[in-house]
Amino acid sequence: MSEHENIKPVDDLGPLIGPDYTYSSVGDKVSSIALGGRHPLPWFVVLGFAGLLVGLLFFSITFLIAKGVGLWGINIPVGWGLAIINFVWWIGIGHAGTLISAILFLFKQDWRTSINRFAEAMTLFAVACAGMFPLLHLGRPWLFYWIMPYPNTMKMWPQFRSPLVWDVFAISTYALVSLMFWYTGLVPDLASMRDKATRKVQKIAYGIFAMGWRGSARHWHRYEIAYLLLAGLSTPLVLSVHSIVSLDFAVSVLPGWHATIFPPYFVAGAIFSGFGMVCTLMIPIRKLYGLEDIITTRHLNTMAKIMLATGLMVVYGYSMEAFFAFYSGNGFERFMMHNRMTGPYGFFYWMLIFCNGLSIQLLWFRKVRTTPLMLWILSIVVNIGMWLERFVIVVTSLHRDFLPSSWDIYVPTFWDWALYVGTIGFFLFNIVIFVRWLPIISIFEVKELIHKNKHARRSHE
Amino acid sequence: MSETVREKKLYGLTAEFDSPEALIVAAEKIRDAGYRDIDAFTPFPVHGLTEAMGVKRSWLGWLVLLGGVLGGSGGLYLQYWINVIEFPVNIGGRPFFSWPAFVPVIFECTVLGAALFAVFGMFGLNGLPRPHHPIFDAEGFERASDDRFFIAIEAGDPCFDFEETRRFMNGLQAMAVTEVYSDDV
Amino acid sequence: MSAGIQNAIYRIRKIALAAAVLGTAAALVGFFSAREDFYRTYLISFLFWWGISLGSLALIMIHHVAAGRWGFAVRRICEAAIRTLPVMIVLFLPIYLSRYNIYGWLGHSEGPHHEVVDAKRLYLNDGFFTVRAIGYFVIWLLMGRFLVGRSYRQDENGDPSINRGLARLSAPGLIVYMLTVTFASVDWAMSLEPEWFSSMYGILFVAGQALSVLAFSIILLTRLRREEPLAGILKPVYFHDLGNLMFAFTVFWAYITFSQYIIIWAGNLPEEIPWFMNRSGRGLVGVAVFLTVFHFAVPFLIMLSRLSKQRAHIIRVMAIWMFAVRFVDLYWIISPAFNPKSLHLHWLDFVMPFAVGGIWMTVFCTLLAKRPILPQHDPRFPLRQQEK
Repeated sequence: MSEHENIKPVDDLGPLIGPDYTYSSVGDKVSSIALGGRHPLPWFVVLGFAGLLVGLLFFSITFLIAKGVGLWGINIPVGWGLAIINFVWWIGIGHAGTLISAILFLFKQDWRTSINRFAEAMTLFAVACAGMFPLLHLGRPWLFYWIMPYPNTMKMWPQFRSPLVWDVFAISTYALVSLMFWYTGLVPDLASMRDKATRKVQKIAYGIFAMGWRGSARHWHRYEIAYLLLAGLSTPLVLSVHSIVSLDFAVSVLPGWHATIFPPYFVAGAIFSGFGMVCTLMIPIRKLYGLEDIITTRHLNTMAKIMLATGLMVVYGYSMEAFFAFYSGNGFERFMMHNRMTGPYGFFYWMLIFCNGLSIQLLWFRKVRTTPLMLWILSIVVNIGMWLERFVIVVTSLHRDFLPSSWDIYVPTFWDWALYVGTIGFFLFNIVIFVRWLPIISIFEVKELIHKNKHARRSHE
Repeated sequence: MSETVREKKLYGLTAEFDSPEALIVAAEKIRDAGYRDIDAFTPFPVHGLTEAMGVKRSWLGWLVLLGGVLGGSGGLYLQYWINVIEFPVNIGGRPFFSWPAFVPVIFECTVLGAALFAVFGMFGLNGLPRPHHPIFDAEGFERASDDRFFIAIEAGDPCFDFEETRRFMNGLQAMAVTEVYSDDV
Repeated sequence: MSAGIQNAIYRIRKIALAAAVLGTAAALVGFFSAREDFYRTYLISFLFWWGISLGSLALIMIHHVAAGRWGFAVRRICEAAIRTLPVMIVLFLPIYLSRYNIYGWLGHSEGPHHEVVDAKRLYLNDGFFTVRAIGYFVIWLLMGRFLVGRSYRQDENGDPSINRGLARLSAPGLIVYMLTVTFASVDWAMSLEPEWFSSMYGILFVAGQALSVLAFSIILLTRLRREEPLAGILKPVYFHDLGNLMFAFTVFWAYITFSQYIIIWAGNLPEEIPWFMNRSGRGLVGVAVFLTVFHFAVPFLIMLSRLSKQRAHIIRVMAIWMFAVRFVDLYWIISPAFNPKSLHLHWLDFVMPFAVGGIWMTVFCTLLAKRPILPQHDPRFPLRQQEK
C-alpha cells in the first residue's frame, strides 16, 4: 500500500512529474541529454572555467608537494586551518546525496526519484574533493598508506583510539559504499542508454558498463532487495561518517571542540549544506536542459523546507554551544565563546549567524521557496555560511587556547585559497562531465513513478 | 527471419505487452499452465510480477547479514589484535582494550562488509556481468528497457512443446508472439 | 464514540484509578518513612509521565507538519495526553515545594566545586528557576490549547483550512518544544548535579519522550484495535509505520547516548567524568549493560526483521518492552544523582511510577473517552473511504 492511497495533498503545487509523460518519452528526454550531443553554451563555459581551476588545483598540489605545508598559513597553535575546514565542508555537502537517495527511499518519498541520481553523483565528487585535504595535510602525502593497518617492516600499527584513524575507515567506507550505491542505481539506466544509442561507440561504452542488464524479473527482484538493503545501510552510514568527523574535534579537550552535542549538530549541518549545494546545482541545470516538469516546483519547495528544518537544528546547536559555554561555569569555555563572538574573528561568527540563522528565515515564505532565483541565491548564502561555520569552529577554538603566550592569528595564504578554489573547479568539472555522458535522472525510477501515478489515477476514478 | 538465423538454436518463445498489468495477467496464466522456466523482461521493477511468475523470495538478505557479521567481527578482531596483542601502546592512560574507541571502526566495517555482499551478491546471483544473452536476439527487444514488457517461455522447460506452447501464447492477447533463436543458448 | 471503545477505555481507567488510590496511599507512607527515596522516585516518575504528555505535543506537531499516515491513528491519543498538562502542573507542585531538599544548589554552596556552581548563579537561582517553570507550563498549555482546540473544531465543521493553520503553528512550535524541553531538562534533572554539564542532554530527553509516547500509543492502539470503528480502519500498515518510527527512535537514542558517552569518556575531564563515575559503581554498571542490551541491541535486532513489522502482536510486545526500559533509562540518568556509585533500590521505586501513572492515566482515559477516537473530518483522512 502506498502513501498516496490514504493521504491527499492539500496544496496546489501540481504533481511530481508532468502529466503528459509516458514511459518512452521520459526515457527519451533524459537520455537525449547524454546521447543527443547538443549542449547549451553555458555547458562549454562552465567546462572551460572548471578546467582552468582544475589546472590551478594540479599546480598548487604539485607546488605543495615540492615545498611542503609551510606554503599554507598554518602554524602552531592553528595547525589545522583551511585544509580541515574544506574537508569538513566537502564531506558535509556529500551527505545530502546519500540522504536523498537512501533515507528518502526508506521513507518512500517519491519526490526523490527526480533528483537522487544527481545528488548521488554530487556525493561522490564531493567526497573525492574532501579526501584530498587530509591527505595533502599529512605533509608527506605519498606516505598516506601508513595510516592503514597492514603488516610492514617497521612493525608499526595504527592505534585505534585516535579519531583520525576512525576517519580513514569512515571516509573510505563512505566513498566505496556511495560509489556502489550510485553504480547499482545506474546499471538499468545504462542498459536503457545502450538500447537507445545509435552510434556504435556509445553502444559499446554503455554496453560494457551495463554489464548485460536485460531487465529480467528475477534480476529486478534481487536488485530491489539489494537496493533496499543498501539504502538501509547507507542511512546509518551517512550519520556515522559526519559523527566521526565531529569526533575528530569533540574527543579532544579543547573548549569549542569538546562538546557532546557535536555529532548530531554536525550531521544536521552536513545535511543543511548538502541541500544547499543540491539547490545551487539543480536550479541552473533544470533551467538549461528544460527539466522543469521532472524537477518541479514541488521539488524545490520540499528541498527548501528540509533546508529550513536542518538549518533550524543547526541554530539549536549554536544556541546550545553558547548556553553551555556559560552554564559550564568554566572560565576557559566562557572565554572561548566570548572570544568567538567578540574576538578578532568575531565578524565571521556574526556572518555565519547571518547566513545560517537569519537568512534562512526567508524560507518560511512559500513565495521564496517556490521562486527558483531566490532559492538559488539563498542556497549559495547557505553554502558560504556553512563554510564559515567550520572556519569559526576550527580557527577560533585553536587560535586562543589555554596559554595566552602561544596565542596567534591565522591568515590563510594564496596557496590555501588556490587549493580550495581548485577543488571547487574539480567538483564542477566532474559534474559537467557527468551531465554530458550519464543519465542525470534515474530513468527507471521515474518510469516506476509514472506507473504508480497511473494506478492511483485509475483507482481514484 | 533470414535463413542464417534458422540455423541457430531455439531459445524459446516470447510474448510482448505494452503495460505491466497485461504482463502480470499473462504471467499468472503461464504459471498456472505449469511452466517453470519462464522469465519476464521489463523496463522497471513491476510489483507483483515475481509472485505472479511463482518465483521464491531471494535469500540475498541473509547473505548481506553474513557480510555485516563478518565485517563487524573482523573489525573488532583487527583492532583487538593490533592494539592489545601485537602493538599495545599506552595512549593517555587509556586501557589497551578501549572498547568505546573501537565502536566507530567496528560499525564502519559492518556496513562495508554488508554493502559489499549486497552489491556483489546481487550481481553474482543474477549472473552478471554477462555481455550477451539469447533474449537479446528477440525481435524488438531493445524496447524492453524502454516501454515494452516481455515474457519468455524457454525451450528447456519440461512442459515446452513448440506448437502447443505457441498456440497457448497466441491466446494471451499479446501484441506479438515471436520465437527467439540464438547461437548463445 | 462507539460504546465498545468507550467501555475498553473505562476498563483501563478502572485499573488506573485503583493504581492511583493504592499508589498514592503507599507514596504517602513513603513520604513519612523514607523522605529521601520519596523525592528521588517521585522526580523520576514525574519526569517519565511528563515526558509522555510533552512527547505527545512533539509527535502531534510532527504529524501536522509531515502529514504522515500514522499520525491519524495516534492523533486523539496524543491530544488527550496533551490535555493532561494541567494535571502535570499539580503533579509538579510537590517537586517545586520540596525544591530545597531535591536540588542541592538551592541550599548552601559547599563541597569542592562550589565556586563552579557559584559561577552559574545567574541561571541557577531560586527566582529564575520559578519563573522558568511557570514559563514552560504556560507555553506548553498555550500550544496544547491551540493544537487540540483546532483539531476538535475540525471535527465539528470539517474546515480544510484548519490543516494549514495547524501546520503553520507546528513548525515553529517544534522549535519552541525543543528549547523548552531542553531547558526544563537542565532545570529539573541536570541541575541535580550542578557542576556537571553536557550539551547533548536536551536531545536525550527529546528522543526519550518521543520513544515513550510512541510505545505508549502503540500499546493503547493494539489494545483498542478490535473495537469499532478502529477495527475497520487500523490496518496493519499503521502499526508498520508506527513500529518503524519506534525503531528509528530506538536507534537514535542509542546513537546520541553513545555519542555523549564516547566524547566524555575520551575527554576524561574532571568536571565531566564524575557523572559517569557516579553511574558505574556496583550494580549500576549492570544497569548500563542492561540498557545497552535491552534498550538497544535486542529490540534493534527484533524490530529489524521484516517479520516483526508485519505482525501487530510483535509490535505490541516491543512497545510494552520499550515503554518499560524507558523507565529504566530515566532511573539510570536520575537516581545516581541522589545515590551515587552503587545501585540503590527502594520499594518506592516500584510503587511510585504506578502512583503517578495511575493519576495520569485516570485523567487521560477520561479525556480520551470524551472524543471520537479518530479525527472525523480531516480532508486528508477521509473516514468513509477508509472503512471500505
